[in-house]
Amino acid sequence: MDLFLPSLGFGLVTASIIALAAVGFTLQFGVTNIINLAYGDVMTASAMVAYLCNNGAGLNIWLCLPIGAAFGAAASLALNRGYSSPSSATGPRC
Amino acid sequence: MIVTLACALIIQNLLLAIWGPNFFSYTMSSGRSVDVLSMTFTVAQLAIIGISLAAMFAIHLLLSFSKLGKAMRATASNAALARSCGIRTDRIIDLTWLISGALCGLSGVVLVMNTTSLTAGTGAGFLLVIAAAAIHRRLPGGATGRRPDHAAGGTRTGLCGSAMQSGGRDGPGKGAGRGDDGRVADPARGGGCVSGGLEVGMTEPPILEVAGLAAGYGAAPIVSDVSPQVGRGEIVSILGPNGAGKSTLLKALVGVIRALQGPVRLDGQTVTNLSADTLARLGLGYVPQVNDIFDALSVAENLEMGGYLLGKREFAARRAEVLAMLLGLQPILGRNAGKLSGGERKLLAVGRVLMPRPKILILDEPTANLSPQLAAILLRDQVRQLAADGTAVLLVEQKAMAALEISDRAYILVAGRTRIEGPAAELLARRDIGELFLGRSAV
Repeated sequence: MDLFLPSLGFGLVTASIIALAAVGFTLQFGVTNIINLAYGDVMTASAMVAYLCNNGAGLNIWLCLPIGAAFGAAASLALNRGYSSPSSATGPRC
Repeated sequence: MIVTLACALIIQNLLLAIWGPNFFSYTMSSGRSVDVLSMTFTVAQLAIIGISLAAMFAIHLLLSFSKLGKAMRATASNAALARSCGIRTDRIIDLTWLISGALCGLSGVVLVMNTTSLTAGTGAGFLLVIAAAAIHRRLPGGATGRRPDHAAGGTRTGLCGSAMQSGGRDGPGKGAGRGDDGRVADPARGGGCVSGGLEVGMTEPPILEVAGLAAGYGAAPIVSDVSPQVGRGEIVSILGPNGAGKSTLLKALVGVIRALQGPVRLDGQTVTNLSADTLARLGLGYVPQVNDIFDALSVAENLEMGGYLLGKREFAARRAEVLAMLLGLQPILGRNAGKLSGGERKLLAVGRVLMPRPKILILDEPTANLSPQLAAILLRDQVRQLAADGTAVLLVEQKAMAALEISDRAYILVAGRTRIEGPAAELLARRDIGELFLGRSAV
């Protein structure tokens, strides 16, 4: 029992993180029918931006949350406008 | 590709050299601990659970109850049909990437808040895709979106269509080997278009006016010099044997494929090669032969997507009107559209397309897969009623005789060209037309 509850707590937190990422991934796959293999990279890049804001610019950690989310949204939109949409109109080129 | 990869790797290594060591040994977690039922969490961990639950709940609400969410589901279910309902699917897809990216970014940040175990480089793949996109855009024809081609409109004179535009009863026959008396001539006499009484019943400008349309898949046209026109409250049939190009013609009219030639005018406005959603906004309703409803949505949601362009009050009023008109829809409103029978599906497809009060309704083989009884009900009751209410109807139908019986005029296509056009009653009286152009079974 000593191990069970901490494990449950750890599992809850880890599952929450994975679920959050999975909701976005499946939403995109469901609507656009595109498997976004750059998803993990956008995730890492957003984390990096949040880290720079927090550690580099000294912003509050809670403020870094929406900044990271906004960066992820902007990066994903840029991927769609710059690569995915033109590719689906003409077929992949590279 | 190699240059792109090399650039991405160099940038990745630079980023790692500058920020990497700090990044991998850094944690943003709050040090304060909170005991919840003997499970010890940091404040950040509790926030992570809350954010995750809130995000999932918000997405569920968005998809289930909001008009935007239903448009997203409609786009996922049938993007082409969603466009014909007036939904800007490109914007819906943009929004999906945006929401997905926000959740992705959020999950990245909360991951760092919880742990420092980020092991996946600093977005090397992300940089790779950006670089690939930059190269892609520089390639010839690389970043070509589909745009409305207003320039395609014009006043080209076709063999059959120009006369219809020009008006006078004696106009159509000239120059095409046709009789000036407006009667249907013998198609066997020549390869040209045979016309008869084109302006019957047309006392005002047509809703749909096409002149010398050519369209196909790629550069080679499947249909050419086809010039149908449909007036308000008129039913016009496009008939012909299999492979005549009937569906291709309709696809060019509704913006599914590009017209290679000839202007298409909708209520006096040139709409050649406009996108399907723009055409829907201008009053064109289209029921395709197959995939004519959103299978993943309920019947009520299908009607809601049909009325996507309407305001809230207008939608409610119109929904009541459509349900009163198509009585069979009321008992099945809550059912999943994917589980409807063939007749119910077609009824729903017609109901969906009627929601925004289209000026013209284009039906591609509406009786396909229907029993003779249901087909008769659909054509004789529903389609006739629509025309009586003032809607222009352009009908492509394999059941030629049934279509001619309810039509005001008809065009018979053979090998992509109009071979006969004229009042339906006159065509119906000619038994040889069925044998010559439609196959004996059609007579």
